[in-house]
Amino acid sequence: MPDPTAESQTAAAGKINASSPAGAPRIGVYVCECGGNIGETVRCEQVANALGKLANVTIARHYQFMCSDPGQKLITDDITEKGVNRVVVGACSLFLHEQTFRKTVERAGLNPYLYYHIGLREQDSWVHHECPADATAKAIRMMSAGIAKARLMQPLAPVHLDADQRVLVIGGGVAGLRAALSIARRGLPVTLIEKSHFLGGHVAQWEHLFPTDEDAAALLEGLIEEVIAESKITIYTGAEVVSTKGYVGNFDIRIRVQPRGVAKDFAAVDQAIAACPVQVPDEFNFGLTQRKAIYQPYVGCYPASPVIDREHCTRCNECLRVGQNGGIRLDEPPVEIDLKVGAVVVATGFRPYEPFAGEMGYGEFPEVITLPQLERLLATNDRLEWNARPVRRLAMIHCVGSRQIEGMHAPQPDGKVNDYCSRVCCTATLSAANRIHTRFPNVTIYDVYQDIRTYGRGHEDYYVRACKNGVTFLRHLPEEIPEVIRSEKGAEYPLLVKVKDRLTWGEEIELPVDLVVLSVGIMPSPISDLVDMLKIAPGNDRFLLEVHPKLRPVETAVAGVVLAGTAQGPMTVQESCAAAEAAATKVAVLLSRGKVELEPYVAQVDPERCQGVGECVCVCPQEGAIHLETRIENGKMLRRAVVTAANCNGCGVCVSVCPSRAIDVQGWRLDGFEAMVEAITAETPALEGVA
Amino acid sequence: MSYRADPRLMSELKKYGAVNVESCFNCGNCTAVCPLSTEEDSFPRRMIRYAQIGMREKLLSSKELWLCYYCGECTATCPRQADPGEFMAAARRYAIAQYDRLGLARRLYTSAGFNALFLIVLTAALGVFLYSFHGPMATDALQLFQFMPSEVIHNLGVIAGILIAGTVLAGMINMIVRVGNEIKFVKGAPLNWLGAFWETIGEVLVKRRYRQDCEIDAIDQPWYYQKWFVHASILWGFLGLFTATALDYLLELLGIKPTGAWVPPWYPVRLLGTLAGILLMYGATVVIVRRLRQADEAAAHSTPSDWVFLALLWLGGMTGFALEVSIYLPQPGAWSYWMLLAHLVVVGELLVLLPFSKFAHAVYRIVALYVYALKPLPEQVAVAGTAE
Repeated sequence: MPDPTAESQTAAAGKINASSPAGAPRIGVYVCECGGNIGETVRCEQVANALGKLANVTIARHYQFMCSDPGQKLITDDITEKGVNRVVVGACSLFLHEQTFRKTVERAGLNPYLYYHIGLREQDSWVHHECPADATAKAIRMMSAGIAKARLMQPLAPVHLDADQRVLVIGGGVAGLRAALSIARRGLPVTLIEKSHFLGGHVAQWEHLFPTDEDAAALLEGLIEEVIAESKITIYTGAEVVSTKGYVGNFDIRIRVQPRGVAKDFAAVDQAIAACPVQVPDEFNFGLTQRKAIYQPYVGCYPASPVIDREHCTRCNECLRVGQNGGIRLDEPPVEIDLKVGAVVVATGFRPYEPFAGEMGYGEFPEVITLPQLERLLATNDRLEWNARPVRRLAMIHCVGSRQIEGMHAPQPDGKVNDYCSRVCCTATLSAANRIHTRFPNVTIYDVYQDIRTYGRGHEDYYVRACKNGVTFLRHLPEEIPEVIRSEKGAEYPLLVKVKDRLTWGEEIELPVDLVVLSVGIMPSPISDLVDMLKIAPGNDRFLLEVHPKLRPVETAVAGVVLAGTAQGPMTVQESCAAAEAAATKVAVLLSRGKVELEPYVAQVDPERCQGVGECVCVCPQEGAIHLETRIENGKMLRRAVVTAANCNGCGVCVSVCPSRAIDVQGWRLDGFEAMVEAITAETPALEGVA
Repeated sequence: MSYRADPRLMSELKKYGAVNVESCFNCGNCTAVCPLSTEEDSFPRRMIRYAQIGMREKLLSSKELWLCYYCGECTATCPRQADPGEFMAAARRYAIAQYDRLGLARRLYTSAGFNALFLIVLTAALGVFLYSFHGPMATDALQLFQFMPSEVIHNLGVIAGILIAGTVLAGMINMIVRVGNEIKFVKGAPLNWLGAFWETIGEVLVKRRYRQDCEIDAIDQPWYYQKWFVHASILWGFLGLFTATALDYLLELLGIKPTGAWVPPWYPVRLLGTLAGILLMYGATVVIVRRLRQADEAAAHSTPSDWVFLALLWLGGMTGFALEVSIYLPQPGAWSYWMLLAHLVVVGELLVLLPFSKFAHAVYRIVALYVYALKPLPEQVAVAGTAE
């Protein structure tokens, strides 16, 4: 790997014209009206006129939509015709259009970092829309600060780094599988790790997938076969991330792989399973059945060989007494493997919401189950029976663990309730209801809901079909939570669901039923360790956060770490696959050139001023971003701080502690800040007649 | 107060014709387009909801079932093809069956086989019974009452009438008790007992709301083909024939004219009967043709029980006219006597079916309209003491 330090400090690298423009700054200032978003509050013409009088401002304009083609042309024309060499745009949030205008100035031959963006819309017009005069004054101050900074801006070049092309995909569910396959087919090597011992994730547990009524097992089998056949994919099951280091293009990731404990060619599988005396609830069937400590979750799973559940194995050695010697090894230690990867796809998936004990009778009455349990019940039984009694009437209750209201619902351990909509449960519930109707036409189904949100293409069909199938819908207000109680003694049906039904003008309706199915929501898998290691951020709803829901929908704030599937939020299988394809594309674009490009906003040490004290090294929060080097110059031993640009995130903590002011963050130098503060606080003549 | 859901009501209602109503997703379009539904007396959605949940008592105590004239607007605009109009009709059939404690209406509505069997037995019984009293068939002149003594007809009519009136009354009381439970006026408040009576009679006889509210779309049809008039012509015809028969008997009691005496066609009572018969035949024929053609939403569904009622109505009118023609023929034929027997059997069957068929709506709708018209009297405003 070439020294990124050298590269970042020689700004002339790359195609970007990073040479200093000749002569004094000639600043072009553009005030965007953003339709009426800014223009209806801020008097943009007045702002432009006021700013036009400031020193070094060559031209100050206002325009309806600066981001439009004619708007951008104003800038490029001014650069080529009027010799503008610094550009300041006051418009929407820089999240939205900073990149747009960088490209604009670059097109006109200017260094893209000689452009500065002011967020007039979010920081001014939207928050002060009731006081236009003050908002106009504020706009002038904000933009004069930008102009002050622009006078001192220097051309910069992005940091270029060599990148490892291998991609680590974390999670072997449908999103991880699809992402791995898609990345591998773009020619990049992939390591796919799955925490459990089997591929497929939750999709393996469902019978049918909406909206196509596909056979989930067949879909998964096909996908897994393709993944196995792809030579560029290496798969580890029973594997999880232990530690991570590095940055985009150069991650060092250590994984720990738990041994299966059973040899691939072990033939006496059935005898060994029969011999095992341990019984634990089978998580594959959501606890409806029991399994042994040596087990296979289902027929046709991949890998097909069984596995020893080390948590529950009692080391009784019963399984060792059957079949071939050496086929089973209970004492095999886990293996740690170091991976060098350029990017990470987080596809860690979800877990169904687990209702609290007593929530709508869950855990209190055995006749209350969850929708995932019902799915397994339907998949494993020919008859619809519960507790050896036929189910004649059942009630399905939506939004359990979703759209919760603070103060009304019990919070999770982190003190927060699940206030989000889990999106897939409505259609999943209706799909189950329709299948029950088809298979057991005499069963009466009640559907208790707040809103039916069958939002996707084809989802509404499930609702229409459920209506036609005679499912009776009852709708309650969010704050009028239905109750599940035990029926009076000797009643024909064991449970009563009490609903204040808004479709029956708020009357309380009692539903006598044999079985209550709670349509539980979706929560992210518990991956807090991984989140900390990768330094990615969960949102308020605990799902992993993307940079921007529309503009950068699968990227995290950490370069090189992208999201796929339900780790990011509730999604259908279809949406998970789409997200996985998006993640694969992002990764491929990032790594296919073997190089990655980083923003140049990194710390820069002035070797003339640096005394080699090392305060900066002590406070730096980023591992490997700054270190002290000893070199010999003119026969003298000198200790100087050196920045590794790739590891520096430009936070500027080092700048604040340097006793000799030898460090600055490129693009955000202290003199720039000082000039901005001065401009904001100054008695500017430009403000006369405004405030 | 809470209601316990019962899915059995819906399956029962399906037997009475509410086949598609489970498709209803409670949007309320039907109630919104209904020209008769009001905030206080809201239907059809409310009735459908009773059915979906299984609120049997609420459904049976709803006068709203009988306020509907089945214009079909709700069915035409239902976004789910749940056919609310036909649901209302089915719920009325169900109510007729439930108000009848003998269970005969239920079996007639839910089994075509029973319907046929019942009719055959009833026809045979009535025919054999009447025939057993028959006298000679005079061939020189038509002597209808020599063949079938008028006392026999009269006495049989009176006895059957009393029995049927009793059954109808029992059904009425059954309905009134239920509907009465739903009336929520302030206790002791003075009500417009008499005013409601006149309003009901008015609505029954001239069908103001049927005419003005329910047939907005039928405005381009000639008045004589509009549904309210067709229905009214059957009703007027029926009432006219009933009055003519009663008057005929009155004339005998007064000694003016013995029953069965020959009178010219323009004799007032005979004229009334003829005109009423024409109205009845016109109405019944149009309704039957519409149902055969399935001309609109309301005519698209017919149960065997509906057909029996209409057929008897038409046959009653038909045989009556045949008799009238035979009276004015110069030479009587034997068929005239048989026609009398047929006429008596058909009319008898109509009477017997009154509490157990569509015919019963004549009673239940009147009760519903009366309760609908019942309102607390406006409070007497104290005028005294409003000194200036």
